[in-house]
Amino acid sequence: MRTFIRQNSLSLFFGVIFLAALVGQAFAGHAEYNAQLVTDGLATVSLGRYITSSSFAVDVAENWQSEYLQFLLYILATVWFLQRGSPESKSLDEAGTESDKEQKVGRYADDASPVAAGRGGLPTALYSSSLGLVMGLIFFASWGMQSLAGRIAYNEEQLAQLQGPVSWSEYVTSADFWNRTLQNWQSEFLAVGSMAVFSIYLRQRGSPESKPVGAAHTSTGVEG
Amino acid sequence: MVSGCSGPDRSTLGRVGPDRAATAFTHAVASSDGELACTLLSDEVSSTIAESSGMPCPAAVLQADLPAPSAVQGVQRYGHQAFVTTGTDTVFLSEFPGGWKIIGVGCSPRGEKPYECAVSGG
Repeated sequence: MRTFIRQNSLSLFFGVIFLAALVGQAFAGHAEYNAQLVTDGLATVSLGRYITSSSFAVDVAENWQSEYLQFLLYILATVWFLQRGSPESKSLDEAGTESDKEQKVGRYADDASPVAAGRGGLPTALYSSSLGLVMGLIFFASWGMQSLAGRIAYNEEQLAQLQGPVSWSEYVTSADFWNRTLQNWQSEFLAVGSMAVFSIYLRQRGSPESKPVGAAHTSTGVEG
Repeated sequence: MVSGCSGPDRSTLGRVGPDRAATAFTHAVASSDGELACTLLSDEVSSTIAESSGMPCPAAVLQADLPAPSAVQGVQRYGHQAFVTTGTDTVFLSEFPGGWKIIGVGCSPRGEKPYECAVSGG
């Protein structure tokens, strides 16, 4: 058990703080939701009703979709785009999907390689893009959930203010949908861009996200 | 005389959907049952029309310029809010512990602005 925890501490840590933050969001969101209902002279709801509401769902989904978009774009962009001096970038002469030998696919797969890496054909092609595909699927699924839950939450607010409801097609072209979407996108893109640039000049000893402390600013694609 | 479906039994009003609550209200007003009509308004709306008219809610609601009852044409429900359209009216309702209550009735659209309602709160 101790070995398991030690060897999986990164995922366990982020899993625990994710759940803690989600629970905290539920309580804070519930308080804000009820405060607005009181202002509007309407009935408040229990925490249980709130976390099964579209209002909570859209607040969760709008953040999830932007996180998975961030990773999808980061994964794909780092295949071809370079950043001199950044550990987030490949070396300046390694842009592109690289050779089968470098990637250990097909006949270059060894005994420790995943089965799909050595199979060839469609299985290998799919597995070779599986990370981006899964990130992309989760992005589109959560963005879709944002649009569906967001329309219901938006219309609930509209009706409380004696304003008419909108259709799904009207909602996904509305300011509310795109404000929610773009405010999340800009922060994600800023964070990734900042990381790529900050890591050129700044260091965090011991982290694989950083270059070694003594590495030159110009060294590219090296990890600490 | 109002034809068509009659309203639900008063004892079951807390369990009817928003469409039945809306039609129960319009039938109550049409049959001059102000007491029943006020039970179908939210507390804020019944207080508002009483204060603005200087009369108790059951009397005030019968003085409101409301359209005649007609069949429900559409019901849209989003969370705890509902939007009911009839042949002659648009009604906004909200779900309370005691059932669906009207927060706006006798409503007309005003483009991007909130509907203008003959009876509403605030």
